Amino acid sequence: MNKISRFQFGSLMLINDVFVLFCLTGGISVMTAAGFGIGSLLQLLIVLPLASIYRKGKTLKDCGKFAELIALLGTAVWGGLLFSMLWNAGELVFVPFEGMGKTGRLLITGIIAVVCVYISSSGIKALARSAVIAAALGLVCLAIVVVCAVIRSDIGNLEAAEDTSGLFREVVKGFALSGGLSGTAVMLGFVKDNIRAAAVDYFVCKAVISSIVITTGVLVCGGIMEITDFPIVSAAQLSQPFPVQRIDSLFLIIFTVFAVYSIAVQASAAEYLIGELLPVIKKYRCSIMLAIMAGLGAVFGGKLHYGLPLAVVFAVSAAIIPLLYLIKKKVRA
Amino acid sequence: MLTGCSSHGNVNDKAYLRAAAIDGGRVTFSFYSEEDGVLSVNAESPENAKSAAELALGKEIFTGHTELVVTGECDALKILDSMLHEWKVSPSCRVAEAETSGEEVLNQRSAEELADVIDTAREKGLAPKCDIITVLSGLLGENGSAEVAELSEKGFCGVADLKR
Repeated sequence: MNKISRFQFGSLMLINDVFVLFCLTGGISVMTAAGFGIGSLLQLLIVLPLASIYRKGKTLKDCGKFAELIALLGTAVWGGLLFSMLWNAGELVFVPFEGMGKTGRLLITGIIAVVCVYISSSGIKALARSAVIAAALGLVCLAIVVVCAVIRSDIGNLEAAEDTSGLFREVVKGFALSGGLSGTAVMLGFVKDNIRAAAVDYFVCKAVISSIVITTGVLVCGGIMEITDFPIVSAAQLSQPFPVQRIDSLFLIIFTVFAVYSIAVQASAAEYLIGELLPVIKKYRCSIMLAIMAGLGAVFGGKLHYGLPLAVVFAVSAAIIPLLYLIKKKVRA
Repeated sequence: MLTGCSSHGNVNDKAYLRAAAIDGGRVTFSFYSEEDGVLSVNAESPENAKSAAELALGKEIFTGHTELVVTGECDALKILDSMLHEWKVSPSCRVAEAETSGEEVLNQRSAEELADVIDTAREKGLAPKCDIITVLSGLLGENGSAEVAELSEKGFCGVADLKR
């Protein structure tokens, strides 16, 4: 049985969220931290009904084929967006290969995709177990960056990074960057016990971590936000534990590991769903889904606008699953 | 492979930049290795200057450990932005202004001495905090200016106001 603990579930999902923060583009402010925090708690409200359904011993299968199809589309699109984010952030992060231009970025993105195939092929349980180690490693790195940033930061940067968009827009941005909700809906079904607690723990941790990471980014890059494309990546690159020591390489490892896990989670969720929807496909399900995701990533290409339309699509795709369960239940009754 | 150790060869095949000075269209490079010495090239941008210097030296220049940038007659914001994002200099890289010519300063004094001079002036409260991030924050701020140490061939000679 592919059952995972709530701790493993939280690790899997949080890695995805932190990776998205790494790839965050544009200006950020304290309002962004508040917006993402509030957005995470609102996402909890969307996922809780599904957690209640799972708690009764039901599965995604009980919500109907249409629900599974929506979840599959959601994971595929989000996987594509993750590839797109990886490609864009690679411009700044893949330092050793920058001399090779697009070929270097393509090489690293390709290697990451291959590692995703390998890591997903071992099953959700193995993926979840190893994700705990990756999340712990990431937590240590994050702690180093935050501590260094707090020590060396200028509190005036919080004011320097002015908010220009308002709380609502930041909440919307948080939702638009939470396309992992479909994957969350699938993975939540694999949690062996305390499903509601797993959902609550995960979204509360997401709210806290998002707020801390974004505030750290503002503390470090607030003064130079105008010339910073990727504030969180820049914050990690600019935080120095010691005057002559840089932590770019540590961050590079964490970034790559998190990229692998983020995409692998979506690929595993999609693999499971395609197995349910199209049982005739017995082999290479994960590879097929990864190829589709990479293709979608190429289609999305450049920097997408993470605005209201995308936020609505992701929120509705997650909220509709319990609704479809209720409709199916009523029709049966 | 991802950390870039495989294809970048021996460390001796690179010149490690310690300090750079920009005087209008002339860029001066001072390296850690005495063998590489001090080199000046004419170029429109730091990136072009780096390419020209690499051709002159016959080896690749690594700019990630740059300790000091001396600005002369130039658009300070554009130059420092380029150095932070393209040269990827260390965030603790010091920024100073040359009293007359940055090229002269780097030719007369070693980069190590100049960095020490700035640190000592800072410890004594004579020079402001002038790492590249603080200076860029000041230039991008409301006032559009940042205080930096002023250097001459004799060493520290006061505080200059760098304008956007």
